[in-house]
Amino acid sequence: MPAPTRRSVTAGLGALAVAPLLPRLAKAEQATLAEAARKEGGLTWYVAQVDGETAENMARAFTQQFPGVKVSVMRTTGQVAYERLTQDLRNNAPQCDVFSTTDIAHMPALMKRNALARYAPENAQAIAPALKGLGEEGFYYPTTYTLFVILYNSQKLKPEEAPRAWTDLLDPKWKGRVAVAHPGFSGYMGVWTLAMRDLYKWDYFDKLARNNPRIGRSAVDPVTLLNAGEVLVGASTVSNGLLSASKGNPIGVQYPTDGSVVCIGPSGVLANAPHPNAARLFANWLLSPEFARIATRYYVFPARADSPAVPGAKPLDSVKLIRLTTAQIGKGVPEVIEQWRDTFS
Amino acid sequence: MARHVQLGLPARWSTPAGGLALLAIAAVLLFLVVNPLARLVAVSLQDPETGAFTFANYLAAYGRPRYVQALWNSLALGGVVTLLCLGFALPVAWGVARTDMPGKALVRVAVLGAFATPPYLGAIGWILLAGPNAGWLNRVWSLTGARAGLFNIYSFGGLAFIIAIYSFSYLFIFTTAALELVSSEMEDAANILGAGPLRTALRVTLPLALPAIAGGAIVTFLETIALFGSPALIAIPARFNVVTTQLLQFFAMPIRVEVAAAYAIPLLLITLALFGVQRWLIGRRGFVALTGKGGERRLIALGPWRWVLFGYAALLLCLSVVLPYAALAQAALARAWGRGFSLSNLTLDNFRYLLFVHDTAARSVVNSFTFAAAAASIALLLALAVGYIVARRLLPFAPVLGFVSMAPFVIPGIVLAIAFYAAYAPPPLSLYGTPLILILAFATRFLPVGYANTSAAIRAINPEMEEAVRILGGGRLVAIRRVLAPLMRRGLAGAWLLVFIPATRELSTAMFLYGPKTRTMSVMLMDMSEEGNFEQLAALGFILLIATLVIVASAWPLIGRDFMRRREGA
Repeated sequence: MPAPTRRSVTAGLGALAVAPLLPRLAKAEQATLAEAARKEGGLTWYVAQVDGETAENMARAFTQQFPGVKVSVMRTTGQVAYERLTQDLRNNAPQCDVFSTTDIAHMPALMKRNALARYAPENAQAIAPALKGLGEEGFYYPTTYTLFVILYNSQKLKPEEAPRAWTDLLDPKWKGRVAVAHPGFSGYMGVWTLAMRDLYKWDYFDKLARNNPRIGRSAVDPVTLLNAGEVLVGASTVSNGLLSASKGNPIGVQYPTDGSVVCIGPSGVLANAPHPNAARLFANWLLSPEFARIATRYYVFPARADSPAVPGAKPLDSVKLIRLTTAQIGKGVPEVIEQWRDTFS
Repeated sequence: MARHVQLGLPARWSTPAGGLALLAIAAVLLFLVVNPLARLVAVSLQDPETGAFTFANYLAAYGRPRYVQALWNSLALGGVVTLLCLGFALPVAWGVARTDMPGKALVRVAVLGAFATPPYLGAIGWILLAGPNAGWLNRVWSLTGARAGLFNIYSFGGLAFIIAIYSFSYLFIFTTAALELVSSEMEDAANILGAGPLRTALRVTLPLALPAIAGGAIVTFLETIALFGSPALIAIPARFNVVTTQLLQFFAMPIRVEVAAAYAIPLLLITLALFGVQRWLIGRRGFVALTGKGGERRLIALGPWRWVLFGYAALLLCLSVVLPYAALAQAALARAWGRGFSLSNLTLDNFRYLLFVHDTAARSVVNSFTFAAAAASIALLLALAVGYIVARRLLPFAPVLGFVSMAPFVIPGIVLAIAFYAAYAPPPLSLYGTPLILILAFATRFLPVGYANTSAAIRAINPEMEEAVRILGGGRLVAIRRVLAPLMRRGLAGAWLLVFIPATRELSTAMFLYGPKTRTMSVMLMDMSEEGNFEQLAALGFILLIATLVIVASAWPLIGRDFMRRREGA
């Protein structure tokens, strides 16, 4: 251990002395940030974690809280958002300020090319302990999460008729009536596909292919097909299912007995963000109590420890969960995308 | 003097100013047409890291069975669609051009309607109609007690059908034009020799129109293999790839522009070759009956059969216009389209939301129309300059300029987009994500349409009028501004619209060139389809159609009034 220098001791003491003042200082900092953001006028948010309508609603709530800071929303699936971002970087044409993806492995990859800004939002301390280690201190943080579960059309199926486990989707009785997304587009779908491969080998998808599933792109797509009665069962997020059910659509949620797959949605500020202050203000807001309230209203789980419960969702400790690490996702998702294209095209 | 002009060596324009004009126009054409294509070829032959010459990109592009399969799928799709279009278009074209079939005006208007429908919008209408379980047609079918749906739009056949239903108009237009020129004498001869109307039509009339039919078939084939929207909507869920969807995959992670370029080159070569064949066919004048000279043309009386033919035409138009638009309207006005027709399900909220709440969608509407207007203006100005120089033979090498202006006609939109991306997205120009790259790409894509129309308009005007200005001491620019431009206003407005309208709905070029702030409505529609949000999707489609109609309708009297005024002045 190196001997403490005078400077480090002074700095340490200084920090101690300042500690009680932190909240007030943070408030002042937030005010100057908000002022600087107003001068920038707005920001561009690449987001995959929620559907387009929810993203627009969230953006409007932010602008209501910080008048004069408009959010231009670019909602698409996680992989497509990442492609766009990579093209922006390649062509040195920065557009994106805050990036909220559904494939957490995008973040370390962006850090590697120095594309993420160093920013530690003050609200990051409020992240739930279980999620805390998932980000990279000072670069990116989990802002929302959800579970990949089985959804079914509750008008045409009784709860006891719905599949109980992921393996039930392979039952020939769902032939042509099961919907999934595409891991080449949806980040969460990639995580789920990887989880299934870990559990049941690729054999699971060879069997699923025999059931001729309807393959959308976004994980929102199966919900639409369920609503239309086009399919009876599908794989998507509990958030998509509950949101759609809240609008009066016939959607039932089934937490599979072989495990709901945890999907983490991280957010980060871009190093070359055209609106650096607005970006930081927004990134901090994604971890704020205000965001947590709005997110839960749209059935998305916020990262904060003190978030209100998502109405209608089972408490997580009563659900069997499957978790994958960022490293597993970073290595496995590109593989399963290729395998998927070979099996399903 | 006149002889001098015809030789293409007008002494008066071999001035420095003339040379400068030629240089400027040549530079613009070089920038828009030649350089992107050259870059495309170059990139396909380069190692992306070192820039060294290599064939590795071609190996990567065609080294996997999946990728080769996509090419075969495209060719098969082109073939099936062309056959379907022949089956759709020929009977109806024969009915309209040669027989006493009733309702001809209606049929022509409806064919125009099918022609004017963006194929991807029609595809969405058909997803609502023939989704395997919940599509309207299948729901009606299930009333018979059948468990499985009758139609499955998510199949190779389904895709071929919906492409054909929106592209048979090419063959219809080509064929009617040719059939209207065939004189009745030949048919009379066949009749005298004992052939019935059907036999005559099949053995005499249609063969006479064969070059036109073959030309139309080739255009249909090429349009099909270059199509992006409908395959993206249908083929991905149906789990097969075609060339265009495969090209988009090369733009996925890791982005391989060089492989995409290599993969696109055969598409370009096929197109070039087939257009060569088409020109040769159309250019052949071995069919004496088609000289357009004399000959009496009488309509064939079909008797009760004329109603059968009309029924066929009506069915076709139901499939391409009536049914899909009904399905789209229902979705656009519904809270949830799956809930069907009921008063409680009726709402205008989708429109309100898109126009006033959804920031990105509203901007995409504005983008589409401003980009299209800018592109149409650029294309037309350029076409006008080239057309004038070519028609008046003002400069040496003028025909080369005309040829280059027509060249984009044979470049599939998706290939043009990749070429533009390779040439202008990266530094030094760094046009990536800017409106300019979209505007320039649209202008290039539709330059041939503008050129064909403006040069026709210029040719229709006798140079004498300009010569008069020059004799009276006015310069050539004065002649252009005061004489030529007013005379051509109507023709130019028409040409402008002919570029503007397809540019508002262009998808395959926009798909590769848009940025976060430059999304067009067509791209927005594709993004929304990703989420399966059919209600808003349909509403956005209607906004596109209604806005186009309003613009065309408001431009029409303008052109008309101008026309009237000129007559009064005369």
